[in-house]
Amino acid sequence: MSTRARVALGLVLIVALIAPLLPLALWSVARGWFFPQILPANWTFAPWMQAFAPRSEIPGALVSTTLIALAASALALGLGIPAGRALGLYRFRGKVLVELALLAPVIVPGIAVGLGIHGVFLRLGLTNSALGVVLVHLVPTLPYVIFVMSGVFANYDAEAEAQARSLGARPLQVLWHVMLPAIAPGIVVAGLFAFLVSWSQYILTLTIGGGRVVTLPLLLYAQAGAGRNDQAGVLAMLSLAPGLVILALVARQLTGRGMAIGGTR
Amino acid sequence: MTRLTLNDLHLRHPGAERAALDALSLEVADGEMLALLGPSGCGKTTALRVIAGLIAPDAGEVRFDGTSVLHLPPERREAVLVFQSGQLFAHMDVTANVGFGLRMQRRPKREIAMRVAEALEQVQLERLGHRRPHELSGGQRQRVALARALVLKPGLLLLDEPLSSLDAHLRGEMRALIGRLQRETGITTLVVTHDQEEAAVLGDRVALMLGGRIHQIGTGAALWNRPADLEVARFFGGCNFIPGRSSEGVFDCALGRLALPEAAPEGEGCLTLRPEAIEPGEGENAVTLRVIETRFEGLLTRITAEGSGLRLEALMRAGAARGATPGQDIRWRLPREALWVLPGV
Repeated sequence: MSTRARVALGLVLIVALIAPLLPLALWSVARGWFFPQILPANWTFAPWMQAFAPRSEIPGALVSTTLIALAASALALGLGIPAGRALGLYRFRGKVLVELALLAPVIVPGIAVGLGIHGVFLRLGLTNSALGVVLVHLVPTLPYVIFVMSGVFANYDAEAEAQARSLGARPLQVLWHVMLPAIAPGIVVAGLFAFLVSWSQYILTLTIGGGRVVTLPLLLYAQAGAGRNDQAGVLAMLSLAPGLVILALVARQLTGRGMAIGGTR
Repeated sequence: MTRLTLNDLHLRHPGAERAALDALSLEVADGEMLALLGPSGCGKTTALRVIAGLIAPDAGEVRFDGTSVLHLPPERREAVLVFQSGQLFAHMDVTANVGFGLRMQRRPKREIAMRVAEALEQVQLERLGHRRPHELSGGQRQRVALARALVLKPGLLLLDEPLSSLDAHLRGEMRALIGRLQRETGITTLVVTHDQEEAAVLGDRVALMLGGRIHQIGTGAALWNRPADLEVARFFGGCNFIPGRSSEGVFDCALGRLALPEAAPEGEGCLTLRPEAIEPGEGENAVTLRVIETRFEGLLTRITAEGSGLRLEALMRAGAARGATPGQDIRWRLPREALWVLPGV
């Protein structure tokens, strides 16, 4: 692709990705914005002040969304790294079936999964609790982690571990000094994916959390449904934040080069 | 240092048809450098991994100085295995790589720095301590791998094809380095190779391994010139096998009666001699043959000749090979010292 074509494509992508977000951003700082005005008549920070006012639900939701996403991605990594290692390094009977089963949550609608799990969690006493929400967030996050990590392990030379053992390293030392440094970039990428997927969960949080566990997506849907465009705008901006930060941080790892978007190399 | 004893080792990889180790027994003396020679797939790397503790054998014993080590995990064995690829840790620089084993033992920082510097000096890489593995040449990587093992002062050093990843001109250099370091340190060393020449140069003794077990152990020359059986002779490029009978120092066969060297095995068997041992001309054990084919192979020319229904192959230098043209009768001398009998073949 020529440089010019690449720049053009980059611009198209930027416009396509950012344009839909513009109204949300504007709503969060607008006072009275009616058709046919192109831009709001008056600007204000009132929606933001309101969002972070003492009685607002938003700060609490921000904290719980973050904590749940952190816990879910940590748990997904803890389970997904060994699973990815098994899938990436070894060939075994029924491997294809395991891979298919791991893809299942991507195919089966979240609402169906959520309702099924709700029954089980109800009996286990895990509904309406943050723990239950963290656990159910494994359904969408774990496949991401496993697929990223199995790719990482497919390129990993386990002989390095045998070499380390022969040089006198105990199994835990091998894990810490040889395996983890080698797969660290993959862990970062998988962890960030898991974080973002958990961060934006709605259906599963709602079904298992039962409205008691309040996260940003829940508030966003509620405010949007109630026609509070200003609060929905603020929430949308807050929801976007970690994605943008993470994208900026790991663009290099994700795309294999320095620039996240655009053409010049 | 450490004396290594392998006793009747058996191992079959899961799903494999043939056993990787089949009654493998071997003894490496304290301070000896033994070359374990064999074609690829003969089980020699498997044997190294069993000694290092990375695989458990199905049966048999591995003893260091007479004491079984089978219950010990690799990190607690006196042996260090240097992998064929070198296996440097990509995320560490040369110094960190060489110091890896000492760090795992939680040695004091100062001691580690000192011993690493010493080891790097041994392999002549003093200046490259800060480099990353990908910034090194193949030969340098192999030397770092060697230093990383030597720095631990192991009782037993296991080298898996240490020269196979190197260019031809680097091999000689590395071979000399390994030989010198082994003599200086006196570490009992088992080096695995598929290259006959390498085995002969590196090993005090050479053990030839075929199909999971040792066929013959001895000096390089003994294996070349006094093979124990047909497979050993074939492995070393033997191509002349003459059926007949050996008794009282002579061998009766279709080519006539040939004088044998002392202590040649007696009875029915096969006479063998290396193709490069044949000389043109008259003398003891001279035979008449008709040239069938000549093939130029660089330094040497391979001449196939036939007589009394037997085929012999000779490798000769250009001067000696001159004049041998297909269809011509020639006289070849089969030097007595170059003959050997494989009994019962």
